[in-house]
Amino acid sequence: MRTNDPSTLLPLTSLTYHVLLALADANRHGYGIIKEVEERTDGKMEIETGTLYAAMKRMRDEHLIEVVPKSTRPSHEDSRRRTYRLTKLGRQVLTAETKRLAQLLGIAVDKHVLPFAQV
Amino acid sequence: MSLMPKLLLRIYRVFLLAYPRTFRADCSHEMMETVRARHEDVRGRSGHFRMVRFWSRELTAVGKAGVRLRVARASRPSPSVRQLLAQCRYDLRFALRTLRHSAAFSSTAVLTIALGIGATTVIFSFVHAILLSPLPYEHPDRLVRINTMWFGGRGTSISEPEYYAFRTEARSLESVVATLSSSRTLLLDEPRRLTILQATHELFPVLGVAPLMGRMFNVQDESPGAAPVAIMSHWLWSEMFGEARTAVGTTINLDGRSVEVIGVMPPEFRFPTPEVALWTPYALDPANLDYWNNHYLRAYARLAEGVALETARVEVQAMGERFVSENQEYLSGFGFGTDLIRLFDDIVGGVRATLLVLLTAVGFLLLIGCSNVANLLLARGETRKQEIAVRAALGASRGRVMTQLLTESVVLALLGGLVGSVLAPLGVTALRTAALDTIPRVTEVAIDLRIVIFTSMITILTGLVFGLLPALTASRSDLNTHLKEFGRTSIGSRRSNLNRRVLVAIEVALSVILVIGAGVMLRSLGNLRRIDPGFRTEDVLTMRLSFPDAGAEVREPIAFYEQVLEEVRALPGVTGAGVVSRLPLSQGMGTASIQVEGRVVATIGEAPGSEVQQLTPGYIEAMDVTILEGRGITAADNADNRPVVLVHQAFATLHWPGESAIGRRIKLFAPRLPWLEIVGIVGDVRHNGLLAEPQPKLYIPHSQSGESAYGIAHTMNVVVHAESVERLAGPIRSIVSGVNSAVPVYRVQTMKEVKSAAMVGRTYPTLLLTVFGLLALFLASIGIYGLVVFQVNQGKHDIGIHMALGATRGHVRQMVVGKGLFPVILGIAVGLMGAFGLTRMLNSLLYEVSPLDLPVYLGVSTILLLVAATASLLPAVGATRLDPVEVLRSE
Repeated sequence: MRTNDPSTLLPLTSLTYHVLLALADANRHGYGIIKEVEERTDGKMEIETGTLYAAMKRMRDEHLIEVVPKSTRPSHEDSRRRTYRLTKLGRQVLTAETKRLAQLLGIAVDKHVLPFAQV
Repeated sequence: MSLMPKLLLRIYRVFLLAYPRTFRADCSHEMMETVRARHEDVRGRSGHFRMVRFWSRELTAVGKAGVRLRVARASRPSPSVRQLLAQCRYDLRFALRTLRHSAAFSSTAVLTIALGIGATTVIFSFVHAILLSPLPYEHPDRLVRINTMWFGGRGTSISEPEYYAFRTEARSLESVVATLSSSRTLLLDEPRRLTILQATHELFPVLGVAPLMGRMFNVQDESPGAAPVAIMSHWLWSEMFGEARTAVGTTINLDGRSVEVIGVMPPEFRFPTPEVALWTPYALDPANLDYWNNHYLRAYARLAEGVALETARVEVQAMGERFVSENQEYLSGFGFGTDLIRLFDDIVGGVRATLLVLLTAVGFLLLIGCSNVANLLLARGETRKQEIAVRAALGASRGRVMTQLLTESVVLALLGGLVGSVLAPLGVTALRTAALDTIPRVTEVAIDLRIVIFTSMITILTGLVFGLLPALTASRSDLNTHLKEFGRTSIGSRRSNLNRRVLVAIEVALSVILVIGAGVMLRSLGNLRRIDPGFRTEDVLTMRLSFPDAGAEVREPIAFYEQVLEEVRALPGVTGAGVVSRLPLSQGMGTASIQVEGRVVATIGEAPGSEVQQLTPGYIEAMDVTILEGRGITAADNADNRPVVLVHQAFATLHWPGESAIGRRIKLFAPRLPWLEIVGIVGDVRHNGLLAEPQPKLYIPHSQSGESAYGIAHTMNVVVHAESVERLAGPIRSIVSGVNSAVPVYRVQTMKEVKSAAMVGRTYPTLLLTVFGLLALFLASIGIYGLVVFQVNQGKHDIGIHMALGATRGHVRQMVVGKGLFPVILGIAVGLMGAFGLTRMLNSLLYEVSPLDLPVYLGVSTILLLVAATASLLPAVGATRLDPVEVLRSE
């Protein structure tokens, strides 16, 4: 189902958000996404291959990400692995979700949920 | 990459099957690459624990995600379908709720359906495996058995020269195999008697079956003097060798001889019966064939390619005629001939009639069940008219109302089917275990899913059709009428009342047929039980012993059995013990040609025949066989004294009618054998089955049989008469192994068990038919009860008026019961006529009772009337308790 309004897809699952984040600054293949998420979260977020691909399939169906066409890929890349990137909608959704989370965080900060300002 | 990761990756690939196919096509390659790369990562930086954790997480994730994807895919319907599904869910929930609220109705219906489906599935599974499935051999339609015929009746076995002629000359037969069933003692820690099949080397090519491992027989194996070899059955191989492949090439000890195991058969090969443990070559010497009149080989053949059975029969029959004309001295005068029968018919012919009877019976049961459910549904439809009218008034479309009602009936049918399919495997297992030895191919019987589906379809169809009727009438009928009737019960519509009565009549008619069938079978079984076999069956224990054939001195078995008997007689409680070569009703016995002194015959073909038993002193007494004249056998009748013989009464009256046979002399038909003096005449014993008329029989003392018969029997049956025979088996086993530890003790059974085993082919069909008959009665009484209850409920108004106008309780009871009984009487009449036509099917299964047995017909009619009266009396009594004022006021 194609949706043009990013807000209808919110809130995102943590996995979806992480995948979108991983693709925010670079196009990556599946393995690259897993590595990126692992590194950024200090190994706290481990994604299994099976879960990742099922999620990416759904995200492709929802037009959040897409496969980078072969012709536009750098030639040195392993041609058997596909590289993924954010779509326009994907980027919008990422922004919208980040805003939502930031708002949430703001409330938490205001209510002094954390003893010290760790944010 | 080392072995372990490769294996893990392969497993991972298998796990990927959890994903839908389209997804796999799209992503599996990439996923494999990714998981491989990650494996390398993990390996590079951590230990085994991490690796285990990594793979278990990865594999679990694949499973979970795959299932989730599949589920998501399946439940992503288009909006209209989604709506429909929601509606279905609603209908389903509603149906379950309604059914739960009327628990009595629902459980009755479900039970009815379950019994019908369960019973039909069980019997049909048997019919399917035994009568409808082809035999498990190559081109089974080309397999035949060669039979000999005697005086037009079907014989069984053929002789060596006959076999050799078919093997070498018959052009319509591609190959012919001769087999001989026998038993051998396998020497392990303790001796064990095994059933074996000796066969010529054509056995496996004829059947088109190859060994699981090793080789088949060849011509050299069957030549005289060849090294003994055997092919092992799968079950014996599992037991002895634990399925080790090294079994082939090892030797086993059979009857004291070393026999090499050259092959093992696949588990499904059970020719001709499942208990066969070994196949050994039948030593056939073409230069030195046995006599034409020694018929003991079972012969099977494969028709040549493209040859029809009839063509082959013509050739085989012509060969039989030639055998007679060329061997007058052996074969003329017996009405001898040879014929072919399809192997399939040979194997299943004996149970076909029984199975078809049982199949018809369960078919009836299923029909009764269906009409019962239909009846219940119709009755329910009637009572729910107002509910339906209200729903229609509130805007439910006719289609919606109908779907709602149909959902209920289908849910009922499905639940019944479910319970039935749970019951069916239990029934199949029970029946398989109970009838294992008496039904051919029974090991092939399994629950067939198709049958469960088929019977469930029938019930669902019943649910649909009979759920539809009330649904149609209820949803069509005038809203106003029903709403007006709201709040007061009224007499059900005339048409649906008629439908229900017709259904009850059908149920009763079918039950009558079933119960009459069961009745005549029971009468037949009773007659069978009353047959006097000619010997004692109570308090007699029997067991078979096989003295080793190889290397024994001639007198050794005689001494062995004498020693065993002496010690057995000394056991506490033993009142008599003896030994006999063939146990009545258990081991078949053929006839041997004999000569009567003073009656000269030209050829052996003209010589009279007799069964020949070998026995020891004590047998006649232990079995309580009557001595009519003369004496029994004593210890003095041994090799040192003149040879004597006992004969059956049938034997004596056949040869010396009106005269005493004592003192006459007879001998077996062989030049070297001596004349035997008849010293006693004993009562007839039924040997080859309870139904087989006693044949002329002679008894030769075991200790004289070396001289006066063809040889001393080594395998004998010990027969012990004692107070509590069950406790004797152990002590006798120890006695036997003490006297000779190489002698196996087997077939330990009481004579009572032997007798019931001889009847089991009749007992089980009768038992089943009786169970089906009782179920039918039960179901029909539910039907009748239901009908009367609804008639009473709906006739409350009328009853109230009647009672207000002065009708007595007796009157009301009569009225109610009368209404209930009318369809029953109609059903009984129709059923009697049906039974008249259908019980003929039972003809071949009955003993001394006509399928049109009047007492049974009358008895069954009475029983049904009583059942019907009881079933309708309960609600009738309820009706008389109605308070007319209450009833009329409630409107």
